Amino acid sequence: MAITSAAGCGGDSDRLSSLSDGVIGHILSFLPAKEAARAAVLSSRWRHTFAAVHTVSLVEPDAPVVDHDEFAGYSPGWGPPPPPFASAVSAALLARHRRAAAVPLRALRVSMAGYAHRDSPAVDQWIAYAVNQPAPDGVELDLRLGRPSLCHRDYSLRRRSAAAIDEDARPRRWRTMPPEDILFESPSSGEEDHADDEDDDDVLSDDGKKDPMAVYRRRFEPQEYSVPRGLFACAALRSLSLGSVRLALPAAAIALPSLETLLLADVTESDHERSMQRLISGCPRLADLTLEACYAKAHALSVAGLRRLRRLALRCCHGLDTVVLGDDDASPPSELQAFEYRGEVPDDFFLVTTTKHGHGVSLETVTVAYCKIDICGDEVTSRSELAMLGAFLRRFAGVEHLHLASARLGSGLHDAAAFATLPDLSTLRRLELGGCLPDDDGTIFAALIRLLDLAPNLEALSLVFHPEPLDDGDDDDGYRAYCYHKEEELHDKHLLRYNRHSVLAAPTSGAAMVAPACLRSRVREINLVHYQGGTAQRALAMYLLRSAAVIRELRCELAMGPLWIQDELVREIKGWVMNKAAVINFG
Amino acid sequence: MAAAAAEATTDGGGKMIILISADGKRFEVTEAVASQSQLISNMIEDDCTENGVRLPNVDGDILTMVVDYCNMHAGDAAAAGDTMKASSTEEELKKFDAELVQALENPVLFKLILAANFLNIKSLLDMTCQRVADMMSGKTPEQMRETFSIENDFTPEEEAAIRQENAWAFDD
Repeated sequence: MAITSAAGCGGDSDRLSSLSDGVIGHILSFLPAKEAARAAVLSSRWRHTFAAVHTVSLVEPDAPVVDHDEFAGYSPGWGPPPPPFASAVSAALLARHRRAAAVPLRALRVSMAGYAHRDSPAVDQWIAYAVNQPAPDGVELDLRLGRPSLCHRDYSLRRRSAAAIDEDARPRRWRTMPPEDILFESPSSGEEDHADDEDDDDVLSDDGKKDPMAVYRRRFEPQEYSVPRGLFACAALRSLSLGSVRLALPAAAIALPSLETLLLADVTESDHERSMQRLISGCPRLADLTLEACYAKAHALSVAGLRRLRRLALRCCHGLDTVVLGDDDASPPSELQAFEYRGEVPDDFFLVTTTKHGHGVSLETVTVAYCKIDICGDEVTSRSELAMLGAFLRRFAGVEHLHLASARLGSGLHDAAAFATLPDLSTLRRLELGGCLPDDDGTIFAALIRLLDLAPNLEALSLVFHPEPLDDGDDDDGYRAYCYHKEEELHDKHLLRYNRHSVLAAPTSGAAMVAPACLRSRVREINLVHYQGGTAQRALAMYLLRSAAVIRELRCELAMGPLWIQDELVREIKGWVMNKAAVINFG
Repeated sequence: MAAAAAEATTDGGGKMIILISADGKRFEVTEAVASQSQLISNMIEDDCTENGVRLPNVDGDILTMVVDYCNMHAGDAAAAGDTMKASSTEEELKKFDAELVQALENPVLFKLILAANFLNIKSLLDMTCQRVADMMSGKTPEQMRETFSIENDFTPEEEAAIRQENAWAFDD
């Protein structure tokens, strides 16, 4: 495409300032509110451009990192930092109205590091503001009042010797209880199914060990914001994201007729109702639903009747056992395009349709183009769980883009006995695998080759190498790795694991001798992400790049580490690439 | 209504529309492609595209880029199936967009913004405005003025007053 500057104007004329207010406002709307407001000092043309900004986004910076010497360093004074942030949000909204009338609001996005009760009137005002000046095509409200970690189930590998012995003895369901239910016995807990009660004790002790701060956090910060009830009858709301708040819904019916996108993260339901379910059912136009670290009191959630649903994402909602996709009155959403799941291995009755008597019927297939399954927590090694994972995967036959992540790269797919029947992946075009690939791994080749053999039309393959846990000892003790390391040690420890003298062994036996057909004739793109250069990773990269005869593009993002190691890895990788015409990018 | 001279019919059955740039260049595109522009889409609804659509404030070279862009993106805007470029995948589109926008130099970028704004092509406007925002991001006011040749017509006192007025935005 020939691009020449026309009409003889050099780069000197100020074309930006000559754009209309509407366009300048649109440009500034892509910037954080503070940056957008700072443009006021550019020149008199820009003095009041902030009034034309239709999207106001503010993110509170994280508090400076405090010493990790945990308990000793803890003081109740820590908490969320003092609140100039809340006043900045209010100032931003006011600044839109300093002179001229502000344009209608398309989006208000606020992310706080931590909410405290004193912020409550301010947050109420922001919501009222957003709801009362919506743009004609609706308004987006994104309110995150905290930044909890997604879940406490860190990925962890099982050493090969300890494989699959007592795995089945562990309680399978891991329920993360909301704080009140643990510290102050909640009135509703009696109504719940009693099978849970035994689990609860478990979780308290387990949780307490996993995250020593948790108990303290519960004591000192039970400060939750309850979203004003009026929000749930806002006809102009197009997109709603709520993080770290309490849902207290109005008694009247929920009416969000325009809502297309709903995200609930770390949201607690009020005591005795299934708020989340009511909210979801009150959004007839919902197209995109994400639940993240939400504990559903009912353990079940229904999206039946959401005919327009295109994307469903469930991340670390560990209390959730069942998702009802359809029922007798409504078939499963036919437009569903993407499904995302993160959590423990779901059982056969995770995705169901119900019949008249309320019995769940496991769904045979879920037709989506994109599917992401991410198994958090310990590596899955038991046959029964692997079989469940296989059965879950099998529902997504026909998927075009599959993303599979777990503690170990390959997610145990090498185990042919457990994964007796894998889905037909003939439609698969992109495959992304994530997980650790430690040097003692002996499973990845078998797992990858099994998958690739099933996917003759694969075009792009991505491997995301998770960093190995820092402590090499027993993973089962429950303490976070960093407890054992001083800060300096962590700084010294880089993430590359290169040994130039190690021997790279590609598979030499059986089926692996001949590379899968897709690798030889279809795969055009290979991505290696966070490549650490350990022996197993190098062997895998060598095998893939030597087999991929028609590769056109290789992207490799190296883990952090000394430059000389990175250089050697880069040189080595370039040497492996079969197709010398391929474009190679290193990041 | 009888088909006028400027209209043709492709094998696929989509009606063709002629777009005419300020300097008289003519571009023939399908209705599906052209109606990504809200402006043209409205004109199609009102049946006033028969003699071609004159775009008096869009140059030929800019319109070339706009038509390229619309051809590439016809697949995701129109209902799948009835366009010739239905095969372009999401990844290819992303790559095309990234390359297009990265290649743009200041004067062309702003002309493209004007064209996208005038034709009301939301995705193209978003993409080009995002590019300008990226160029502004992380810069001090002084650096922004330099990047975009903005002349500072404030006296130091005026500038100080505006900073104070917007103190909340300058506090970090």
